[in-house]
Amino acid sequence: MNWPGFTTPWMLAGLVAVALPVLIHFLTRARPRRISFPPYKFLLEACAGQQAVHRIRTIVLLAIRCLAVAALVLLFARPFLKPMGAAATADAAKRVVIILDASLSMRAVQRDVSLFARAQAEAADVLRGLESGSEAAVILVGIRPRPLLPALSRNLPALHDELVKARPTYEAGDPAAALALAQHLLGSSGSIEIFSDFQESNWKSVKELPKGIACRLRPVNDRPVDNVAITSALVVPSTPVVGEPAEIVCTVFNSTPRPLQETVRLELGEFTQERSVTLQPYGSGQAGFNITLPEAGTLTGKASIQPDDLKEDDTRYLAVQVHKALQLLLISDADLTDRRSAAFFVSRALIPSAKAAPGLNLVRRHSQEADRGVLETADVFLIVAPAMPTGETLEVISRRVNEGAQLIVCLDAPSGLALAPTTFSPPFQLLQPATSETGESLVAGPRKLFGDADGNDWVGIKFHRHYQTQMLDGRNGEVLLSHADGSAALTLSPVGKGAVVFVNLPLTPEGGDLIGSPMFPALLHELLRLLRHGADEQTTTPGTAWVLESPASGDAPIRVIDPEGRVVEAKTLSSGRLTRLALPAANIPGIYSVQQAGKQISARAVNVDPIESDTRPIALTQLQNLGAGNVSVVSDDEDLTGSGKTRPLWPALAAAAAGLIALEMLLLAVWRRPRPALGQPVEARP
Amino acid sequence: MNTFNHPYLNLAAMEALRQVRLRPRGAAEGTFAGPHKSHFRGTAVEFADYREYTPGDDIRLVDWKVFARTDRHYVRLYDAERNLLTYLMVDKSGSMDFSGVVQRTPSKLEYAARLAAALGYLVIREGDEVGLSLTDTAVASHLAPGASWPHLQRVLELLGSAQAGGQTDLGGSLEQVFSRTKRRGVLIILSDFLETSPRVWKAIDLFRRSRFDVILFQLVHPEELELPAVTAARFVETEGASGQFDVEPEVIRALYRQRFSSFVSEIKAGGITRGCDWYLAKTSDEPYRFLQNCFLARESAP
Repeated sequence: MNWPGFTTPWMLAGLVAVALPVLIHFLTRARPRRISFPPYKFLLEACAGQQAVHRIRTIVLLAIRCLAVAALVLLFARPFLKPMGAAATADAAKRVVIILDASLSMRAVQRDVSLFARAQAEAADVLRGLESGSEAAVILVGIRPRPLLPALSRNLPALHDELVKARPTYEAGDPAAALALAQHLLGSSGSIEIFSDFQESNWKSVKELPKGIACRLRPVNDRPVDNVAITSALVVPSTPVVGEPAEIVCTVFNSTPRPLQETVRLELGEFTQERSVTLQPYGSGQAGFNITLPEAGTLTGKASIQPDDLKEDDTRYLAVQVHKALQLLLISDADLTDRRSAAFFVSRALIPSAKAAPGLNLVRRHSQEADRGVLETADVFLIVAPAMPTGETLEVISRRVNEGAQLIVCLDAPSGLALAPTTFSPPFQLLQPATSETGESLVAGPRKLFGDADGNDWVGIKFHRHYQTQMLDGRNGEVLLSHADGSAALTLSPVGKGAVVFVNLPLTPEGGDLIGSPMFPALLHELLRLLRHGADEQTTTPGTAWVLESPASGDAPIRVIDPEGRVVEAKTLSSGRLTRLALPAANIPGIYSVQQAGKQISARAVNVDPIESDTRPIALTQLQNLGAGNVSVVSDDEDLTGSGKTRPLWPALAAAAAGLIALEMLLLAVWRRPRPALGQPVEARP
Repeated sequence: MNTFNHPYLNLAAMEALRQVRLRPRGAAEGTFAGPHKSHFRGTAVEFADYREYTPGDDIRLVDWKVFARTDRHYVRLYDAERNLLTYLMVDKSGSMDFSGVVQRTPSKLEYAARLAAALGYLVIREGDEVGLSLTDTAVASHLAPGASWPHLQRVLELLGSAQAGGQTDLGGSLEQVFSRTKRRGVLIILSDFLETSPRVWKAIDLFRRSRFDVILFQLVHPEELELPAVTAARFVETEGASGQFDVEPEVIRALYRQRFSSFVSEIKAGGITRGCDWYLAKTSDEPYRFLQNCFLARESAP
């Protein structure tokens, strides 16, 4: 037994339009012309039946038109049939929150329908099946939960409209946040309907389900989505300079239970190359592309594989910023002419780098002379004691390191204590200077800087002084080399997006043999290489607000253009040689171009979060175990009563409207067809 | 030839009727000697018969040669040539005022007056006599037959003064006209025959029994044949009753056309079966060409 309902019952007010055909008929009817007509009696005879037939035909046509209008109005009211049982069981109005997964993985297409569209339709069914007076909310799962209406609402038609308009995002999903919001909206009573692909990489973060609230899990895919994705495209080094050999490493992930051979195609500027990579089931593989970057500026491109069910993660965009030269800022207070100073030896050791690392540009400043311009443009900071940088200098360096710059701090000098402020996050605490007459050799730390063969060369190098240090808890792993007393000699610590190296070694002839050893230049260059290789992929994920730095010149306004050619509203945080722009969350992946005076001055890649590429579902029993018996799983074939699934009537009404209009046209064609004259006009008798 | 300046008589256009003569189908019975054969025996040269002499006969008519051969007195009889008497009867009832709604033409009365004027002219031109009666429920105006041009002028003036109005009693009018005729001749009826009752046919029979040559001109407006080309109309009765109703002409056009066609056929059949000539005159036709066609048809008929 079924009974009808309407998704947008207010549209039924349009039924007054049923009178429209009648109204139009009377308004457009021609005003009769008064004619004194001699053969009046013949008119009466001709009209006797004909006028009645005509009136009946007119009434029939008007009735058909009225019915067609009524069918159209009902069509817009979106009627549906729902089981009588649903009405009986849903006697009381409900409080329901529908959680609809709108993360990237829901864009996967199975049987020509996206998972999101499937979930959306089923959620709409649930919404339509709710009793009048029920309160409901719909929350879209993205990187942040997005309620379609700000609170639980009784305006189910409006909620339904919003639901129909919802679109999946390119973001990673955070179901835990959505569940927390649902619980906040429901309070202590109600139920939650969850439509998702229950991707393990997202749902494993859910540690508990709302207490005392019934959760119904509605998986929308009948089998896991077969997906292969490029999960990263890393440029090594991350800040390459012109002419420097660089490598682009693409990581491909196979989210299928089968081994696969995948071809990765890289298109970067004029460079196009393909590499094949073998992938184990649910494993990753890497494809490396060696290129030499021809010119400075921003090089954009993409790495791609063959499209699959989830095609959005089959392309990874790249925006490589190629520098003219690597800017290295050496800050020291030692006199340039002092050939016994550490700064002198350090700068001499970096000279061969013109060949080893083309494009290295060394700039030297005293602590008090480090101006803002040089601080903002340096890629690597090298602070060599004795040095007493100002608080502002330390602050700028700290910020730059957090944003991705590298810092090497050489501590050997009386000012060394001041060069390890907490803002640089040293992994140790400096205690006091220590000296040894005989000299001590170094011990390899948990992290290796050189290979074992090269490491043996350190054994012959003796040191006479160093700072005694005490390692901070849990940071022993950042030590590269140690002194015999356990003090850290060389550490490498990640700080923000950058890294900091502390060198607790004497860099003068009195302090040890290091500066006279060929290992010294090698040490510096290896540190530089290590620092630059250690960067992560420079990318942004959709759904998060981001900051973009771009070199700019002049006062012309800077515009950011998204991949679809639309201007993105950007707020300028600071300007100078580098302009920092605050951008709202990116909606779509691709290359975001920064333009000034119509010319591209830099670009940034926005790529989907690789967490979405692992499409393996979580075992629903895990989630059920979190809910203390309040969690049930609803399959697609669940009974209609329980799920409130309804049958839409719009196809029938659309067919009825079309049929009525066709019938009206047919009757018009038949009834208004010109008829042959029954009698020819009488002519004069010849 | 006299000249007439009257809107109903265009002598220049009448040239088309120069060769046309209105000849009676039977013998003429007029007052004066004329070009038409008469049943009156007279003094003309054309021998007709003999009969025995009776006292009082003109002794000059006795055929002495026959007396010599038979010894009996016979008088010679000759056919007299007499002039033609033509009675024009024009219906001026209210229905004759119709001149169309979309397709405007002269009214039926005006068209009938033009035909009557032309016929009168043709009759007088041949030296015959023509009379005129304007009728509605009865004979409204009557002009006794005359053969002079001044008489034609009076005919034209009477036609020009005719105003359509009143109801129709064609039968009664015919009876009145018959009572005013003294000799047989040609009766020409110009009417739309919309109110044709059995009394009309009885009156026509009366004329026919008196050996009148009867010609019926049935006048119709083209819109009476096809209905006016308007989307919606409120039709009103023209004579007497105040009936009216709204209708879309297109809806009933076919049936109306059929019904009116059968009415015209009835009039035509009624006339022809009584030995009358019948012509359908559409007010959209040129009147003199129409008359020419009528006379050609009449002369070629057996």
